[in-house]
Amino acid sequence: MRIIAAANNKGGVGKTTVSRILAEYFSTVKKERVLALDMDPQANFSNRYIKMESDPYQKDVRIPPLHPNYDPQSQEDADWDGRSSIAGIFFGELVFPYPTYIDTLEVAPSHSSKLLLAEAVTREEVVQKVYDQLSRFLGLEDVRSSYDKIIIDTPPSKGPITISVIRAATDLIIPSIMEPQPIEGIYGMIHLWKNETLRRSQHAPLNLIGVLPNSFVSRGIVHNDHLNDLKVQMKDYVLDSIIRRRLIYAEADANDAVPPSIFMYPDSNPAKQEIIQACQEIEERMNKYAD
Amino acid sequence: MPIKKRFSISADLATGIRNTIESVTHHEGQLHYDMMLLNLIEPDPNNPRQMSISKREVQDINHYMAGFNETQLKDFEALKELSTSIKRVGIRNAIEVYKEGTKYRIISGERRYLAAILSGLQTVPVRINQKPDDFNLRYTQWIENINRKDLSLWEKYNNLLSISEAYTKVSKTPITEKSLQELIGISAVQSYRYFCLLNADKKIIALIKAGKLNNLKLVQELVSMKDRIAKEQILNWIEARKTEVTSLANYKEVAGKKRVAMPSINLGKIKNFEAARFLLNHLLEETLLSKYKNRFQDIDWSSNKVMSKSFKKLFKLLEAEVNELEPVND
Repeated sequence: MRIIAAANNKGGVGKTTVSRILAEYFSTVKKERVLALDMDPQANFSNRYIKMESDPYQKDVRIPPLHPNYDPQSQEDADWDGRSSIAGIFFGELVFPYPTYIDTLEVAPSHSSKLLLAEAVTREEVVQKVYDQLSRFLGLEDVRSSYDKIIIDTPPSKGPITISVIRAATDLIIPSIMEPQPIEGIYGMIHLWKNETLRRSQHAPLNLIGVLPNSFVSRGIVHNDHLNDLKVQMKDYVLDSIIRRRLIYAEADANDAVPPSIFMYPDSNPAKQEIIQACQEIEERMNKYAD
Repeated sequence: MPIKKRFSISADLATGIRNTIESVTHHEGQLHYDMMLLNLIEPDPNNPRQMSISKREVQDINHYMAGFNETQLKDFEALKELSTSIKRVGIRNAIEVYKEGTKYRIISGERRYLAAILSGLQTVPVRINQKPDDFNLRYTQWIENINRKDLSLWEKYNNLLSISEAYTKVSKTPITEKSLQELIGISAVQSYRYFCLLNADKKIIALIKAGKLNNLKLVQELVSMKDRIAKEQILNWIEARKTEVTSLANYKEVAGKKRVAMPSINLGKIKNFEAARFLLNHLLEETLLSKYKNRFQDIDWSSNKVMSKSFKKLFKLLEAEVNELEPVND
């Protein structure tokens, strides 16, 4: 089982887009069993696959909908409110992934207020628990035997939740726009990668798959210059594939988009072609590292 | 026509990224910390610093404590103090271990380990290393131990011996004063002292082991003493004492005016330079001394100072040669 994290502490650089693309690639194209894991309180990744609800009593809060298997009449579910999120792992709750329109893709959604609570912990011993919690959860035999790939979307921060993702992941992808601020975010991420690599046993490394240039404008000098520069500074860790700035990614993100996944577009579609190429390169790079 | 604008990653960011990548490629797994079950950890049986109390004794302290000797009681007091602080604030510095068979062996932190057992802990923080080679292991333990106040000279000696053996094995040359100095980062004087300790004869080592000699400077003085008879006398005196000897001040009191130097013969003075030259050349013809001939070439026969020096040198060589002939009891 490989655990792929898309992380960058700058927002709006394509973490969710890349997470989506990877989740859909491995589940629809490769027919693997995939769990999409949304650790971002903004819940955009979850919202792609299940209709998240707003809690009218709290501001800016998105909570998972009632689980399709929830039966309020059943004795079995008596102690459960019918909603389940990945944030539950920080509060001793069980996690029930939700099915999606793709057979082999399940999602463990975000829960804004619970994730924000976990992100805000400051007491040393609690922080340590948060750091290790996701890794513990994903280490469970039940989880390991149920999925081939776990794709994790992260919040735009370097806080406890991002660290918990870094600790649990086997492979790290850093999506970034080739502009000054997001590139600073790359620096923040490779720092986390460094700390984690030094901390971990050599037998269970965190593979840095690399930086995936996103929202790339080929005619933009600033994008080209920064990409070339970055390839000089970290040559083995910048992917050859790029994802260009296209409206189609926003369109596929819209509610009730048809088709719901870019992978369902015709093969001639240039966006589909470029994301398939990116996914294949990521897969090849992952295969270079032993399982 | 305006010049086309170019962009680049800021210099410090570029350096930062490059350095970070660099540091990862060379130090993977170097800061591998974890919480480990105590029963997976074992002390290094070859650590030169032997604790007077064993793991078994700590585990069943009530049973064993009655039979403890003075050193053990002292060590136990220290362990109890450490254990009190561990109970309050936990173990602040991780115990360094490496995998050995099915267990993890301690590189450094044996006291913390025993105190953790005493505190009733189940797990302790560890830093997991690759198995170090023998030299690096001894080196780490030496560094760990060298600054401890409670380390006896005997323990230091064993420490030194194992690090010197490991050094010889790795570098294929015996350890020298200079390499010892560079290795441990001590002053030349201190290195000389340790070197004397390393070369001390059996009798001195026995006294160190017995705890009667615990002062490195004193050992250096004894080892570098040229007067064999005086040295013998002093060593016998130290051996007869019941407690540790820290200086030779008392020796003089006890020994009083007794001669400690070997009786010597005054060979008198000679005023005729030519006669002196004849004598010197004649002695150099002797079978015992003829091999030193080349050391006495180019002598200024007209300088009394040079001549006196030459005789002094010759007599020293002669004494040494004669000593060699006599059987020496060790």
